[in-house]
Amino acid sequence: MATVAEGLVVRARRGDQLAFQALLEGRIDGLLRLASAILGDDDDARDAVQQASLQAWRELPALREPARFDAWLGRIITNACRTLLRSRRRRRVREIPVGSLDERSDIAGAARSAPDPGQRSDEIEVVSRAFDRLSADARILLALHHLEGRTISETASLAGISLATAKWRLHMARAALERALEIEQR
Amino acid sequence: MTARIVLTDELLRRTLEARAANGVTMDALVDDVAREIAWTSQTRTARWTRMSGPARLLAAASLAMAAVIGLVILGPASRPTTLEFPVATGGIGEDALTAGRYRSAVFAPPLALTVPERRWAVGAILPTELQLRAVRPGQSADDSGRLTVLRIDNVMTGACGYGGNARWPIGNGDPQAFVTWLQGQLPANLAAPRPVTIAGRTGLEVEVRPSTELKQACDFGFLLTAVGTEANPMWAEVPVDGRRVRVAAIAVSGRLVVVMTAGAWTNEFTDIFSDADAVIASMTFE
Repeated sequence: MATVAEGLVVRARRGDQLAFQALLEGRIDGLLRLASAILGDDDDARDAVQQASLQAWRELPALREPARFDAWLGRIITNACRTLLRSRRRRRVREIPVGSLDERSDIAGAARSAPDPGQRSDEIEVVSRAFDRLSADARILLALHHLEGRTISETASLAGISLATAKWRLHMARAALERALEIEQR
Repeated sequence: MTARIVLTDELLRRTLEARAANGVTMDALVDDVAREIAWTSQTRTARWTRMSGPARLLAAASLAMAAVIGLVILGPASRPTTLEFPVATGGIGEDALTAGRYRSAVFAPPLALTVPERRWAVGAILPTELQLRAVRPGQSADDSGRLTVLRIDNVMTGACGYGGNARWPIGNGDPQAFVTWLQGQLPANLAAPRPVTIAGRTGLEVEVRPSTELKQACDFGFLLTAVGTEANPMWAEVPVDGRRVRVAAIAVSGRLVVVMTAGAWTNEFTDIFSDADAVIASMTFE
């Protein structure tokens, strides 16, 4: 038996704009959150969601299984973010202080006591700047897994990669974030 | 002294939550999308895919017959022997190229190459870069294999290019000097250089080995050379994120030309490399 959402997908697939709008209304908050986390910029996130929504509308007739709508939409929004990031980055080089990349700080010995709220906010700011240094794919995987709480299997499915590749790339993304964090703290 | 930040799952989650708390008004966004879809038509599924099995067979047979008749009447000579790449300077080709021999006079020195049916699309054509993107079913354009031909006039120095942009010091396009320079710059493991012949010119090729211990600051690639303009700066990059990449250097009329093949994350490297080998073998420079 089809769910309400699946019924809306079937209607939207036939060109019912109100059905598509209803589908979008229930999902746009999640799409915006994901895009904002990946892109780190409200305007870019808005552009990505708008582009993804239009693409979803145009290509909806090609979606054969209405039950797969959310996974399909998830892939469209992450692709939109990826495209936006890559087109932006190809035209910019972020200034990173040059130093020996072999220098490793002793993060294991860092203080682990609970920080005060102001310090927590500073930490988030620094980690966010480090996150901005990551590749599009790394950002997407980390956001799907750590923000949306997707399992590695779901993350793999949304990213269109195998489970083993997702595990490996998540590991690499996390390592890259740690390296970027070291650079931010120099 | 400020304590160094330890990246925990909790800190990462809170950071992403903070980034996700955007200031976009959702109602306005839904309204904007609604207005746009009112003017946007949906892509209808091709009639072909909706046909029943026998109807599809009949249609396929008719198409095959028409193709045979067309070939007999027009003959193979009616096809142009060399085609121009279907993009303007600096443009991006969206569609896979049909089989044939293509020439670009935008890239200098002008080059020609042959591609098989719908396996490659044009990624970029600039005076110093010609890039083909591998086209595979179900694969996004952003995650595809690449075959890139670069003229090296200048090089980005330092890890990830943060040392700046400098003229390539070896004027005669010496491949050995370039490979030695690359070995000193690239923050990744390189295999031993091996001889290579491209377009009748001997040179050297190195392969970037996937590594779990890359020491790079930017995590997306090693910026190799500037390919854009001052107004529109762009860089060609060697991916150093673990995928397999081959970089071959040859000299063409005293200038250094690099042919780079990069696999994608979600396809077989051997498939891309084997396809790229056929295209590289067909290359000629004027």
